[in-house]
Amino acid sequence: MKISRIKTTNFRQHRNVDIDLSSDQADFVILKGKNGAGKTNLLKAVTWAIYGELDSGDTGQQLLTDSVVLSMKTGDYEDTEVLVEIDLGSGESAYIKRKQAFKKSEKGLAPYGETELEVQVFRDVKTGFQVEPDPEGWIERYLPHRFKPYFLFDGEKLERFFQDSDAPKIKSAIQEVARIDVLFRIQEKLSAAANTLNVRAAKLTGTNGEKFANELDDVVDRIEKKSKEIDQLDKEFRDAEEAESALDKQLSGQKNLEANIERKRKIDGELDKENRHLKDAKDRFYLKIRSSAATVLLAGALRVLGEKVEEARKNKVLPPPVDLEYLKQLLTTGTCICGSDLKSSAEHSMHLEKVISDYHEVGEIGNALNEHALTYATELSKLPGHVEVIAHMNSSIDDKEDEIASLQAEQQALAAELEGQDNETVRNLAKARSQQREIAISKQRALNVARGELKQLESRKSDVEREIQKAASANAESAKARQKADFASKAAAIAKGLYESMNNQVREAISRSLETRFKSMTWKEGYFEQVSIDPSFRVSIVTNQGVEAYGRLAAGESVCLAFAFSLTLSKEAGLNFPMVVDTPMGRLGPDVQVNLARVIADATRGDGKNPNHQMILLMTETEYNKQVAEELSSRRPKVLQINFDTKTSETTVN
Amino acid sequence: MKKTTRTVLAFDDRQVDYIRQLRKAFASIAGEQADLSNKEMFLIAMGVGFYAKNKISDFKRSNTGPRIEYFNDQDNVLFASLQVAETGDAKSLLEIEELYNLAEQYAAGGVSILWNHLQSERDFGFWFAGFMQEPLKQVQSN
Repeated sequence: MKISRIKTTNFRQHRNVDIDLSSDQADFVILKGKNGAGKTNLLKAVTWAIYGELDSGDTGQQLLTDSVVLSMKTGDYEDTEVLVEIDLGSGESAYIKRKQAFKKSEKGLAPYGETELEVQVFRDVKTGFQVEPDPEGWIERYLPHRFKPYFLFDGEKLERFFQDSDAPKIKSAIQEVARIDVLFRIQEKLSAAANTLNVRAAKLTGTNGEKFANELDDVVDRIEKKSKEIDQLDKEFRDAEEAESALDKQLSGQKNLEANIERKRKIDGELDKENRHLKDAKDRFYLKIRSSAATVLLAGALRVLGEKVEEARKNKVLPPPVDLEYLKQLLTTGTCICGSDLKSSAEHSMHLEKVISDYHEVGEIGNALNEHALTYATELSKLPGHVEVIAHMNSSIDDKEDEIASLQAEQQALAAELEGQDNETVRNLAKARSQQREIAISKQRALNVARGELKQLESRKSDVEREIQKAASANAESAKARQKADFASKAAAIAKGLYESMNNQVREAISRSLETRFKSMTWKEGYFEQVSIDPSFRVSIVTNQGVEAYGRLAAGESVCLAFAFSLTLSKEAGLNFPMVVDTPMGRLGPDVQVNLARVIADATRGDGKNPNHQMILLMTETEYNKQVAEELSSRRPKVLQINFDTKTSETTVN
Repeated sequence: MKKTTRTVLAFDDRQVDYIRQLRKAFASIAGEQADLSNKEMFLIAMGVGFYAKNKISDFKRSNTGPRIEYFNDQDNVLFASLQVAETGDAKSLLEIEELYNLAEQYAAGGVSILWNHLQSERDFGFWFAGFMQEPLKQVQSN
């Protein structure tokens, strides 16, 4: 399936645009233009033509081209019209035309009448184009609305594609592929019929049965209310999870900003502490150096004094080992302790007097030296201790300085990474995320309680039905109604089983196909181990390290996953629908742009069995740069330039 | 030993302001509550002057300086060492006036060196620690 023509008349800025994409080359189309050239409006035109939908915030009046509105007089009518022609393959084609009339009155511009939708299908030359009696039905068959998010993309949103298209939407798309909604509706109708028949059977049995009938009515009513409550809680739970996931994405998308801010805060604290310790260590170091400086600086002089003391000791010039005062006392008494005569002029006396005289002179120096003999030795012995302590303190300071330098390097790296980031905003985001998590948890708890209550109600319903069955056996007419109810119940159970089984089969098939496709598309070969969609329709991507990567994918990988899922759905649905993507690479870095261009070119290429998958990329000139163009050249794309002349309000595409 | 009548070891009159600033500088490098007394200042300066062989002979005695009574045995042994190392004669220890004069002259020489570096060095503490490295190495090697 390919879009072969897009024609707009008075659609937003495009007064008359007619793009022919019917050539073979149009399998891969690049429509490039500057910002404001009208690329996004072309995507909006296609969306409006097929589904009649506008973006939220757009009003119907904005459809009509401004210059046309300005030229209108009161009472004038003008139409907005978009035609999208589709090549269905095998010579069949169709066009979808949507038109809206506008009237200008004194009150202003307003839509005039309903939007007109026309679908004409060309099946063969004999019958030519034939008007489809049910154009909306035809569109739903070929371009199901549930697939819209997967073939009409706004590239700016691709990065958070799976946040926007979370479980309920994935479930919806997979069910569209399975085309089993009818089974679900049948099951619902059969269950309702069984309830009605049960109530009727009960009423036919008399007073006792009447009581059960009323109870069954009541239980069914409560089940319905509880189911609605569960749906609402489920929605609120998913909304909270989605909001949390979006906030998480915002936080993790900023290079783990939150973690970095926390790490920087810790490093700031550690640095404060280390700097305080360093200052203390330096204070102690300088105090020690200061207090031992004089002794260290005079160590050489202390040694000289030491030498003099030792020399004096050796030469016996230090005070003698006898008490000179005692010798003087002996001379006074005139007798030595050995009995010798010590009278004046006696020989022994003269010897003693000489010793006293000699020692008297030497003793002054000796005493002076002796005064310091002990202290100098003590001071010298302390010196190695001073040196050791100072060296240890110095080494400890060096260690602390190294540690601080390392912390400062990390602090600077983090500061560079955080430069320009608003910490307050990040803190608020983290707080909001935490609040959303709490909401999600409380909703999940309420959901579990409600599901438990529903189970009890369903169990009570079965009990009441059994009571009715017993009562019904007494009455032939009631038994007949009861039989019918039984049949409806069993049929509903079968329909439900079939629905669930088919749903699972299709989900598993799509899950396998998505895994193969995503792995083949991503440029991190071997990095992603497993891609799956679980029974709750949640996507999971596990890396080769066993880590869940879903929700933490890089921007380019998210875009890849979006393309992979769309291509998978298209293939499994057997529709091969075209994909129109606006600004597919706007938010990506140059390297990722090139990688993505390559995988898009490869992934949409057909093989012997399947034709090429049409891709229409609406790109800015910056996106369609030389490197990207080179990667896409293998698909020989049809490159068109779109320009919008602001003076004449005319759009040209060539 | 000849007696002395002096009660203080004086700083050079021309260096009184330097001393004040040097005491502040030595206090600040060692953190709060690490004031440097006149006695400690005198001994450090004397050590620096002696190590750098820098004494100021035309010393002019000021009215400020540490009181002699504050010096203990550990300090006195440093004066004695200085005197003996300078004269090479133990007898010089008996000349107590000369001993104090010499100590004052070396202290003035040390103050001069310290003051010059206080003026020129951005980080006085860092410089002083660097200055002490060599004498510490010498102690280690002996």
